[in-house]
Amino acid sequence: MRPFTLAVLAATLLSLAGPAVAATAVTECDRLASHPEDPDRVSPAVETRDLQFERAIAACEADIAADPANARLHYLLGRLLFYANQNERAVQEVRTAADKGYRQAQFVFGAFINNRRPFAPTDICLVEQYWLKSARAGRQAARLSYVRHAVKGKFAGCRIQASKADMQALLDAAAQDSPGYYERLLIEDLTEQLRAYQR
Amino acid sequence: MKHILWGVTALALWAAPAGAADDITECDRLAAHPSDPDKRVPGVSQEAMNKAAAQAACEAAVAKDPNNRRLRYQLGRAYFYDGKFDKGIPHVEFAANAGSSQAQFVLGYIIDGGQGGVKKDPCKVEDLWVKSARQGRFAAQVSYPHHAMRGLFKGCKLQASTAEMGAFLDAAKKQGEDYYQRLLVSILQEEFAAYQARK
Repeated sequence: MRPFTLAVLAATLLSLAGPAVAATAVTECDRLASHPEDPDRVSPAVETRDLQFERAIAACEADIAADPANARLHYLLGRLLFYANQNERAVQEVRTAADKGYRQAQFVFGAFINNRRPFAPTDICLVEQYWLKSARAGRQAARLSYVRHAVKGKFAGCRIQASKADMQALLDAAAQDSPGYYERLLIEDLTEQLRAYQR
Repeated sequence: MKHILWGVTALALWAAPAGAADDITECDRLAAHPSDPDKRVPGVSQEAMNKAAAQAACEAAVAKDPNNRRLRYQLGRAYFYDGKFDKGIPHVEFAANAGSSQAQFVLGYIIDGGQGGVKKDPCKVEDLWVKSARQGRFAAQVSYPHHAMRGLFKGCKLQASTAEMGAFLDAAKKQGEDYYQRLLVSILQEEFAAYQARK
């Protein structure tokens, strides 16, 4: 192989590997703000009661400045800002992470809308969209919440993208993720409700 | 008056939960359940438990203090996680009979699922779970109405009235610790409203 070809190949491989490496590097922001239920966290979780807001927000802002494309960091900053009652920025950061494809942020952004948090959009159909993305990406809470909202008619008026079979597949996937007792009861209940569900 | 005070004090001491005044043992450190109201330490999850060490520590602790319901339950738990149902059942039964709300729920759960070849007996489950729910154990407060509403206690004398089942769910709502627990209670409360209307 010619040196030029090798150099191109190496540069291509490095450019492909770059974002993945950056996204998995553990930052101070991760150490100070990781969410216990985030399936993509790269650091041990910090419970809400243990968050050190000032220090953690500063760390996340610095880490985002160094790696602005990192969706996880935007989500973590959003998490901190939300608990620090800086709702407008919290919603923006979580939405940024959600739009970059971060499944935990997709679920949380949908929850912000569903729970009518300040500065969150008010369109329930956005919940349908974000939760379905999150559910399809494997976030357990989104799988269950999406089915629950759909069978309860909470997405009435929206284009419901998941068929009944899709929703059953979400519940089947949820059941396979070795959930605990309460999740199993939930899945059992939602499966019964889905059986009776008519679109 | 003095006699009455002595009597009340003696009664209070006699009625104190078994083991309330005893020391924290190695059995506690290795086998306490995180949700057991009797626990003396934060507890260990099933995945984190060193089963062999927990069994050894709890056998030693129970040998020293055989009437301690907490230690008996923990020994049973260490056996169950190791698949030793025959050895575990007598200890959990002892703890349940001694009033442990955790053991009452767990024994009911084992009988409900016929785990380890245990004979299924819905009326025994009903009895164990109503006792546990009346003592405030969240798992029983949701599981009892869940089963009652589905007719899974059919043929048994239902000890909890419809109003008491509603009260179990109300109490559970205040205790829900995570997203799944809160979602489950919310679904059960909706089902309960329909169940009440049918009654």
